[in-house]
Formats: sequence, C-alpha cells, structure tokens
Amino acid sequence: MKAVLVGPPNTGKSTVFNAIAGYKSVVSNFPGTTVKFMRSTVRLGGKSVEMVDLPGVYNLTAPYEIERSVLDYLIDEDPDVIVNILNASQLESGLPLTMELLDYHIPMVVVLNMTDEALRNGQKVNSDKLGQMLGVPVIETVATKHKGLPELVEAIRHAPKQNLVTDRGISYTAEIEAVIDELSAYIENMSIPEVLSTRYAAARLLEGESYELSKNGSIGTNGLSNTIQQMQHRLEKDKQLPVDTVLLRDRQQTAADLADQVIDETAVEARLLDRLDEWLLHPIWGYVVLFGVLVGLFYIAFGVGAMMEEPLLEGYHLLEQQLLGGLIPGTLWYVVIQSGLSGVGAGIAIVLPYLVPLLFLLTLLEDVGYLPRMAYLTDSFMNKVGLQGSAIMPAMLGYGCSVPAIMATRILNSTRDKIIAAVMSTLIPCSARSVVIMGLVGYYLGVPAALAIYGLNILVIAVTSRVLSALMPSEMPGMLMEVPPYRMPSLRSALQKVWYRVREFVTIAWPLLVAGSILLGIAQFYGLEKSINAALSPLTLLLGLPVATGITLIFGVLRKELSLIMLMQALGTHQIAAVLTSTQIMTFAIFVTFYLPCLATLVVLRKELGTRWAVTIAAITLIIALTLATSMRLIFT
Amino acid sequence: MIDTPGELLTNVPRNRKLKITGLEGGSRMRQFIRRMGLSIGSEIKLVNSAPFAGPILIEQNGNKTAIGRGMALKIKVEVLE
Repeated sequence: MKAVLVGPPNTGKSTVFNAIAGYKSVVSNFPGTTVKFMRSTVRLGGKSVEMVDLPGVYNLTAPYEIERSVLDYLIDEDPDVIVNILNASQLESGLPLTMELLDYHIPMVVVLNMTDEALRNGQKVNSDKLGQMLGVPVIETVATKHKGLPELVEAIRHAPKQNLVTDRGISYTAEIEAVIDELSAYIENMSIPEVLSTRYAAARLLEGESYELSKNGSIGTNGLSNTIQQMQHRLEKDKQLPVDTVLLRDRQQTAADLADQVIDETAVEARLLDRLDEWLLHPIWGYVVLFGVLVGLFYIAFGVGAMMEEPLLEGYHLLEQQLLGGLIPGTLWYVVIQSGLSGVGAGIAIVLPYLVPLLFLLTLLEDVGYLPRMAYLTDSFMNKVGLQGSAIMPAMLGYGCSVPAIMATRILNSTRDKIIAAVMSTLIPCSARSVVIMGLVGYYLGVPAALAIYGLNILVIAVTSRVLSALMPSEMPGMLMEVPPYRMPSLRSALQKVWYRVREFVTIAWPLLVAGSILLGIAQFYGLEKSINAALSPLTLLLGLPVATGITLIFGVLRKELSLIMLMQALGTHQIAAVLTSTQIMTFAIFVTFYLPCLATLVVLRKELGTRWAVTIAAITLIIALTLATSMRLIFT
Repeated sequence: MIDTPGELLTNVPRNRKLKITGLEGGSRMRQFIRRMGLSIGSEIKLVNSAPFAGPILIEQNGNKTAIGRGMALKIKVEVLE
C-alpha cells in the first residue's frame, strides 16, 4: 500500500513522516527534476506501507515546478491514500488545498498537526465535527512530541480500499457549482487521468489550467475551448473578476465558513517570540543580527572545523600507524591498506569537523524559522546575481565545506536556483582550499596576495552566476515565500535530520573516497606517477608549472589540501619558494582554488542535481580555472 | 500604472487592514500570487518592508508572506481602516 503525505510547507509534514517512517527513509528525485521527496517502506501493524513525503504546496492551482511534481506523483504513482497534513492554527488557509484533494478519487486521511500551537493561539479545533463535514477521518497530532501518531497509523492502515467518489460535503457556492456541473456534463466522456474526478477537471478548465488534465492524452479540442470561454465570460461578467480569482475566492470563502464552524476561540497566550520580528527584521538591528549570524556561521564553518580537524586527524594518524604496524612497508598490501586508511581519513576530515556541525546549524536555523528571515533580508543582494535570498545559506556554508553547502541547496524551490547556487558553492573556496591559499600564497607571497585570490573568487562567482541566470531565466518572477512563526526547535528531530543527511554522505561518497585513494596508491606503487605526470604535461606546461606537479592535481581531486602536501613531496622540498617562482605559486593556487570539485563534492552534486549537471559543473570549474591560471601566467611573465 | 483604484502596496502605512484591489501583469501575476492563496479581494496587512529595495512582508489570516519588491510594485490596495 502507498500512503502519500501532502500539505503546505511549515505544517510539520516532514516531522510526521520522520516520526512514522523516517528511520528507513531514502531520498528520491522526481524524474527529470531536482525536486526531492522522502520515501520509506515500513510495516504498520503487519501491513507493508510505502510512505512518501511530497514537497510542501499551498494549493495545486498554480503549476510551478514544485506543484507540477506533486501533481505528477498523484496522477502517475497511483497512491492508495492521501495523508493531508494541516497546521491546526492555520486551518483556514490550509483547507482550500484539502478541498482540491477531496476531488481526487483517492481515499484521504486529514491530519490536524500542531494542535498545541493552535491552543496557544487561542484555537481549539473540533476535529470530530471537521471529520464529519469533510467526510474523511481527521486525526489530531503533535508530531514533535509523537502525540496522536498511533491513531494516525491506524487511520492510514484502515483507509478504505475503495475510491470515495461520493460528494464529500465540501463544495463551492451554489452558483459556481452550477457552472461546474454544466461543464462536467460537457466533458464527461473525455479522457482525463483516472484519479481525477470530472468536477475537478471542470473546475480546472474554468480556471484556465490544464497541466494535470492533459498528462495522458489531450483535452481541450473540438469546440471545448469555445464552451469554456463562454462560461468564463459569463462568470467574469457576473462577478467582475477573472474566473481563476472567482474560484480561488470561492474556495477560500467555503474554507473560512468551514473553519468558523469547527474552531472554538479560546484565550490567546501572548508569546514573546511573536514580537521578535520587530527586532530581527528591523532595517538596522535586523542586519546587525544577520551579520552576527553570518559571522558566527563563518567562524564555525571555518574556525571550529579547522580546529577540530587537526587533532582529529592526528589521532587518526596514530591509529593508522598502529594498524599498519604489522605490515611490511614497501609491499603492495601495505600500500593498499595505507591508502585505504587515508581514504577513510579523508572522510573523517569532512564528516566530523564540517558536515555534522554545519548541517546541524543549518537545521537549527531552519527549524527555529530564521532561514526565511535571512532570505528576506538578503534578497535584494542575491537578486543582483540572479538568485533569491535563500541562496545565501549554501553560499556561506561553502566557505566551510562544499558538501553541506550543496546539500543546503535543497532549501531552494526550483531546479534552476539549485543549479546556480550549487555552482556558486562549488566555486567558493572551502576550508581545504583555504589551507592551500593561505599555506602557499599567504605564507610565501604574503596575506594581501592571498586576499586577492578571495577577491578574485568573489568577482568570478558574481560574473558566473549572472551569466548562468541570464542563460536560465527563472520560472518564478520573484520572491514569494512564507515566513513562518518562530518555533522552539526539537533537538530530536534536528538530530534526526542531520543524521539522514550524513548517512547519505557516509554510504555514497565515503566508499568512493576510499576506493579512489587505494587506486592512486596502487598507481604510485607501480611507478605510474611518471606516466601520470607525462599525461598531464600539456596541462602543467600550459600553466607554466613543473611537470612533477601533475600528480598533485589528481590528489587534489581526492582532497583539496592534499594538493599542497603532495606538492612538497613532488618537488622534494618544503622550501617551495626556492623551486617555484611567485607567478608559479600564484598560478598553482588559483588553479587549485577553481578547478574540479573534489570527489566528495562531485558525488553530492550528482546526488542532488544528477549526472549531467555534476559533469557540467565540473567542466565549468575547469574552464574557469584554466582561463584564470593561464591569464595569470601571461600577465605576470 | 494600474487603472484600478487604490494605492501601491509599497506606499501604504504598516499594520493597517488592506484589501487587494488590483494587479498588474495579467494572468501570470494572478497565478504567481495565487500560489500563496492571494488574489484580488484578499484582506492583508503590510507588516514589514526590507531596506535596499528588498521584499515586503504581508500578513493574511495570520500567515506572513514575503513578496519580492518587483512583484509588490504590481499590487494595488485599498486601506480599509
């Protein structure tokens, strides 16, 4: 059996999903998009249920990318039951979506989540009465506290097998219903997807939307459009409003009447949190706080990670030596195990110091509700590079580690925004690249030269984003984003979310790091280093670097800071300034800053955006690196 | 610019009850704000306006929505009280 969670964002939909099915969940993509949903097969009271958490939508009437993906799922995947999650304190704005879903030939269970928050807001919802009026079971929950979940599981299990085709008691006002009936009769024999009722199709056609209707086959031919236009004109003339507006307002009116009948107003608990926006969105103080948060984020991304990384790797190094103790150096086995272990070390260097703290921070900011505020305050700046405010988060995380930064692009609402933000986060020098910039340029050529690289980097990112956003115009004409109330985060669900993300990395990217490392070790063991350098010599010669530096660039793909360590090894000295000119040092650092994302980043890029985009982004970075490094060489020699 | 009565949403005082009276930009604009359940006739409040020509924040039924400045400039409202 398939149960699918549908509801507006910020209703605790994912919390409900995680609490019931999260522990076994996998992230899936909608075909052809980067829109993600969580899927998990669990046993609920002896019944195997595939649970799916669809992205949040407010209604289905405006088919942008997110809405299209939800419509696609409902129509193509044939779910057995829709679990419609509503925020109990925002019943009135949630019910219009419920009304649309009731017109699907799919059994439904309505979940009234966050009933505790509703009570604080002075609203007690009579769920029995709501259930009677909607004609479907209504279950009250507080998902963060696991309240009401057993009842929900029961309701899902016992959802009727048969389609509920009957009129379920919630409808438009009489005059609109009359027009819908008229059109329904007209289109009765046309082919529309099976899960859609005729009256749903009729309402849709009146609204002038037909995305889901025409999914399998064509509708809207043979005089149909004329009939629809006549009806539209009639309604428009009557109401003095466009038909889509008439229908929307009618649904909202019906929802408001319904909400009125089931909500008992009680005393409102004043919350200090509600007044927080006076400060956090203040034209001056808001930016002071934002700056503080960004600096804190930057510090944790940059400082704390590096601080943790060093002792961690030292400790690991000791352990490594212990493990290698019994083996004879110089044998193939020794090399295999040694490089395998250093691959494990590369994973440790990413997961513990960067991935876990940065994802935790991201989740916390998201759960508290600060993320949308951050997006609100930075929107006008991010617009300059063709993105919306929300893209500030992946960008900032990028200074720590590209892996969580690219994972964070999931908060963005369109494939196009995700791609541009991912390019941005990939180009931003992560802490490993900062090690190279500071350790090489900062140390040998001075801090101003190092800062110049960061400046150049920002310039390049701005130009690249602008070019990309001009090439891929946005489907959305601007920001349209709910700013939810502040909420106390639940540590349990925050840690759960972090764990799911880390798990994705550990199971996919880490083994590849180990394998890559072993492969390079074996290549070195068989003396392939020279051939690799020779193969890369066109590149190194183009950049004006010694041929011996070729292999360091391969190591850099495994882990960026390895390029610096291997550079010393390849040149046979720690006195790099003695063997490389200033221009060569600059060229090398610039090339390493921009060229190919590291292996872990590539894996995450592929996971988030697909193979095609991962390869394209890698190519973009390589072209930028080549252009900059060669012009660097030409300008300064 | 819009020949419907009312003032630009970006020009009205904050925290007053407003009603959307007009939208510039045809069906595309209607579709855009419909995504959040907004339309002509919606009763809203302007709660915040970000500096540097940033977005504006409105409230409808107690829910807050941020709208990009460019789009907000296409919305006309009437101050109800």
